Amino acid sequence: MSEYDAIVAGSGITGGWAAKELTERGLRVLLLERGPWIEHRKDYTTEFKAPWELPFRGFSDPKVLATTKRIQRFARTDEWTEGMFVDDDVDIYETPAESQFRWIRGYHLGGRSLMWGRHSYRMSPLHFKENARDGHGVPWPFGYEELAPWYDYVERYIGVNGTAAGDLPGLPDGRYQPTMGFSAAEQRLADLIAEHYPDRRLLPGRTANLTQAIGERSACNNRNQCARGCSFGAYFSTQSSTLPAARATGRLTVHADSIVESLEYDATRKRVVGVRVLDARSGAPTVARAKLVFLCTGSINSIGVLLRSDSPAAPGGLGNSSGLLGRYVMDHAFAGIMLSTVPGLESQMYLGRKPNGIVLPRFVNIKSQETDFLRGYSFQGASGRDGWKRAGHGPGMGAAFKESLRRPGDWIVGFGIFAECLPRRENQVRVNFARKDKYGLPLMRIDVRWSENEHKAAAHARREARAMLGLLGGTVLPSSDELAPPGTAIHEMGGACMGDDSRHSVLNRYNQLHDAPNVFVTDGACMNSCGDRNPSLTYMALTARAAAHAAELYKAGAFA
Amino acid sequence: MGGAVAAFVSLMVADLPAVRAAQPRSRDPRHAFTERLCELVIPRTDTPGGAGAGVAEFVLLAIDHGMNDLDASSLELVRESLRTAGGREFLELGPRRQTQLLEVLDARAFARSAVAAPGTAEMAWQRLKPAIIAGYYTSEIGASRELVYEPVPGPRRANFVLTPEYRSRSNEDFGGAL
Repeated sequence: MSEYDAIVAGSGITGGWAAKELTERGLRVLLLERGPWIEHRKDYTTEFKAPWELPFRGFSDPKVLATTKRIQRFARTDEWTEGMFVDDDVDIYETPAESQFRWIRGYHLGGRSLMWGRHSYRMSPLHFKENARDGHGVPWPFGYEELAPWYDYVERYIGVNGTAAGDLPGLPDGRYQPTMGFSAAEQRLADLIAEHYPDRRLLPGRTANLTQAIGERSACNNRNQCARGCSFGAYFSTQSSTLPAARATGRLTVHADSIVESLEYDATRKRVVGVRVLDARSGAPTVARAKLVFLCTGSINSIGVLLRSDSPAAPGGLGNSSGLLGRYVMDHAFAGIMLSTVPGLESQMYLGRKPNGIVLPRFVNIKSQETDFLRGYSFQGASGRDGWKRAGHGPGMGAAFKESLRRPGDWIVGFGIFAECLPRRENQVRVNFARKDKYGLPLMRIDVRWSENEHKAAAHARREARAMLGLLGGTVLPSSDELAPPGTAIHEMGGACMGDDSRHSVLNRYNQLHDAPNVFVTDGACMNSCGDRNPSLTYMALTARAAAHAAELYKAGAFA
Repeated sequence: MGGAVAAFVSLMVADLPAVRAAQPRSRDPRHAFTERLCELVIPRTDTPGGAGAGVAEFVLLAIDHGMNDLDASSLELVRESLRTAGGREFLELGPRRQTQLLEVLDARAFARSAVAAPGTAEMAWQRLKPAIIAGYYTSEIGASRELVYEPVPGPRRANFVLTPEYRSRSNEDFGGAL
């Protein structure tokens, strides 16, 4: 008999939640993390470093950016944060030239919960209906109402600052701490948009940064450097939130440096009976056993674990009887920031660097199909006043020039675009068993490409952004018209879609593999569509819901 | 044992850029010219300027490591241009003449209508100047004496009217591109 009731693979946002929920519901949990341990506070080694204490003053060594961080750099890393991301020479994968997928990861305890963007938006009721409505992807097996109480539960726990906006058609409200609000420039833009576009609302970003303390987690100190790790625990991460909660139960065991290689499947009992683990340092294989397994290793890695669990009893990968495992992989089509100066606010200033930014939720194709593309997009942005860097990019020198830099420069406000990616069967993640990485694991092969729909949506969004920013009467600065390659939004998801019919989905409505119901996949792999906004809050809600269901089943003897 | 040695070696290799970056550059033959440029751009006032803040060390590091698309020719192009315009080595000229010459190059490089061609002093200066500015405002002197270094702002003050005493926070521009 195993000493564990459940194994949770992965310690990032969803793994942390699974561990917390399962332990709090009475289960003994083994949490496996493929990377090294990062202890809250102690191991945030660059958090309090000043730029003059770093070799490259915070800008990173170009050689590092060209080699070991050549892909990770697109997470907008800097010299403080680059160590949080994987080594692109070690953690390799394949992607065809037509895809150029950027797979951005953090392999350590806490995973990307330490570096995530923290924007926390609910999917709208519309998002759950559109697969069925327009025929792209696999229909969701439930609607928004099913998830709403779990959104409530998660938001209250993690702490999201925000404003209720009256349940906009494109963005439901949630349970919020007091907002971090707007800057003067953001308020100006919000007012102008409200005046000119009755169907659009610019809102302060809703982020998992506290404005009121929760337990030992203190309110945000407005450093806006979250990805270094935060000793104040002021943003939600595994380390600040779910891990201490799970540990407090006395039912959690954590094994770091433990890579989940594959799952051991008992075809006669139609369940997984073991998790094959490789020691990341020694390569030594072991098998961990428990009655149920939560796969939370990140969408692509969770698909990889299942595909590598290929056996005569599970040909083509465990959970792949539908043939859909690894298909319908998505990311948001991300188009770079468009910026404008904001004249007329020269006397207005702020103190502190708020980390929430702004959001303009979807406003197209809400009531009817209005555009020549399906679905929609949202904007996220930020503002601030030009700082000392402006001095390097314009004329001037000498004492008066130096003196002028003591005052803030122009107000700048900008938008980035997140367009919904249609779920497409041909956007697929596979395993190339012929090539292996340093751990002996076959390489993931990621082929996600933008379709005409994403390009059209982004082009529409650019025109709208330009028009809205134009209302400010400033200078709209030149920006790229290119869509960034898939992966750049760091919202990769899909590949193990949910549904009630095992012939047309990989997971059931509670995230259980149809083919092995004691395996739950609750990271982004389970997403049937991606909407147009940051997905982590939805992953957390789905994980908490699935864990509650798993605990009930466990107690009822379903996995005995 | 082997694993431990390998881990130690990999640690050393990983640390090499940091070791190189920390090497003193004050005896570098390019140092005096670079330091003069830094001081002309950000002179000493009631706080130290580019020379006092040791900015040349960072600029030379930036050149040697190819930051901001700088390379070995960048400094040479600027030096040659200033020598040609001044009729002799830049460092042999008086401060007023140095200022005049660099102001002319600076104005040309950042003129609104101009597009600097590759391999010109103007383009080299477009790349070099951000390194000088970044070197100064990320130094302890530039970040915390010339401007206000505010690592932990605390509760945010959303909007207020700027006072004459307000001084910019250096932290606003840390990281990202030069």
